[in-house]
Amino acid sequence: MNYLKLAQCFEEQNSSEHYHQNSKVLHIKNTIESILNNNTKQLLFLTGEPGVGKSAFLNYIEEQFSYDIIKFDIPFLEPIDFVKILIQKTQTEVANYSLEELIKQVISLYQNSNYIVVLDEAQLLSKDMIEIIRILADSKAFWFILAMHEHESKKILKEPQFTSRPHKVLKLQNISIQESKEYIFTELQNQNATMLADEIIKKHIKTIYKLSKGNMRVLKKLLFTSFLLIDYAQKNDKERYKNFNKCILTMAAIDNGVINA
Amino acid sequence: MHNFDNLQKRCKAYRMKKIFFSLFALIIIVLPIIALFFYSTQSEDSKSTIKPKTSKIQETNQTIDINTIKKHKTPIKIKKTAIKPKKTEHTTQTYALQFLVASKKNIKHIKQKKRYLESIGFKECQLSQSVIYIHLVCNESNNLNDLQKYMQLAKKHQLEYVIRKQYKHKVPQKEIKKPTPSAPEKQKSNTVLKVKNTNIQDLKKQFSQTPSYNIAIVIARNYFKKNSFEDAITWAKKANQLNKSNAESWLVYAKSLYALKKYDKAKQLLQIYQQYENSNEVQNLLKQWEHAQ
Repeated sequence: MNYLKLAQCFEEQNSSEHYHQNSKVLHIKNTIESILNNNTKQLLFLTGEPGVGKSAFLNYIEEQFSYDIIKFDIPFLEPIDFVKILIQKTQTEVANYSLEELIKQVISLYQNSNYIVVLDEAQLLSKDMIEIIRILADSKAFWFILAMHEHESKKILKEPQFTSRPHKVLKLQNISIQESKEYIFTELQNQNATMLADEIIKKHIKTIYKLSKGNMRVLKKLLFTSFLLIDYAQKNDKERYKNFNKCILTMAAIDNGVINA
Repeated sequence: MHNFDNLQKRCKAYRMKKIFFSLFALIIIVLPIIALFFYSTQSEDSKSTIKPKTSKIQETNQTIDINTIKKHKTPIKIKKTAIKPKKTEHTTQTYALQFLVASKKNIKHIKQKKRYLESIGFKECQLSQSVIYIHLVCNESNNLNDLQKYMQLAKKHQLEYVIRKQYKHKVPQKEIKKPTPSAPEKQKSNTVLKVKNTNIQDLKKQFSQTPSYNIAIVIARNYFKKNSFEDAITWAKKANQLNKSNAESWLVYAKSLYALKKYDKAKQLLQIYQQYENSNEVQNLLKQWEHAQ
């Protein structure tokens, strides 16, 4: 069995083709779709703990939705650059006006369109950026989806500019043990490793879930490192570590800082 | 890539740490359970054990003391706690080595012990039975010196024992005039004390000059006959203070309590005495009371 290949399928990547759709994800996707279809343009907040899969979800909806999506992965933007990028997306030349003029231009450009502006890691946005987003949201020219960490989102959502405006908060939660099983099984089955998937689910799923606490990123990292270690053990003839076992899992957890040893 | 060997070491250290903490947690949980178990077993033991203590039954201004007797669920070795009467001038004594006091259910063990004692040279080993306990007594003798070599034998075999003294009372001739024909109960030859035609006041005067068990017990008995139970108790206590091993004072005291309808206390008193001295008369009286109730 090629453990290196198995490791690669658990490597951290945000591409939508590797995105595992569980029931919670589908529920949030449907909720967003419903809001987009039935409500006026407003702010949507996607919150969740780090590693829960917010970025992957944004990539996923980018492909799934029929709406036009403008996605910003880097939150360290200056307001003026942000507005300019939005103007440039419409293939329109940016007039060298002041920020106020640029805002007016962008609003007029998008007024009758159905664009969704998606901002990842929105908890890192500056106050000026938040202010620009508020202004643009008020213009009803865009939908905004701001993905941010659960902890910071509480503080941001308490700001008066958001509490006084219509907005929706969608929370992406950690996966359950059953969903973990499904995810591992699907991924390994895709690599023709059904027997290994069965063995892992049967013997180690509780340990894996206990270590990852349902966090997708940690779960992936654990399996990724475990398979890399097995690959190394096989190549270096380390008999005890040639198969997936609890020891390998513990080593992977130590390596990823999940266990402090 | 990964430092495999380093991870291996850290993994082993982590697992050892985990095992250690699991064991520690297990000990923390199990230890109180074991302690609780031992405590409960010991408390069960103590229910069937007479601990060495001085039990005091206090009433009015007087006290009756009972010297120590030890009883265990399993047969036990008895510490050297001989009973010392305050006054022995009017008594003859027999001595014996007492090795065991144990409950009846351990009869097998006691018999084994008896055989063992006889095999190593102790003589006339007897099992004397009380209501609850069996006493294993050897080498009964009138002279304490006769026991010396057996005491050494016991020490040689590292056996613990007590010297059991039994008192047989001799009534001073001047105090005894004639046996009382109307005595309420039969009296054993060794505890017979009969005073005839003696006025209680004279006896009291006589007692104040020379305090004696015999005088006190005659006064107690007379009061008992006259249904003056409180006075009977007072004088039975006085008699008991002078000689604790004689059943008579206990009997008068217990009967008086019984007459005053203090049934439980009366029974308790006789049971305490019976644990210490095996008396058929006391045993019969206890049975009689049990049937009566």
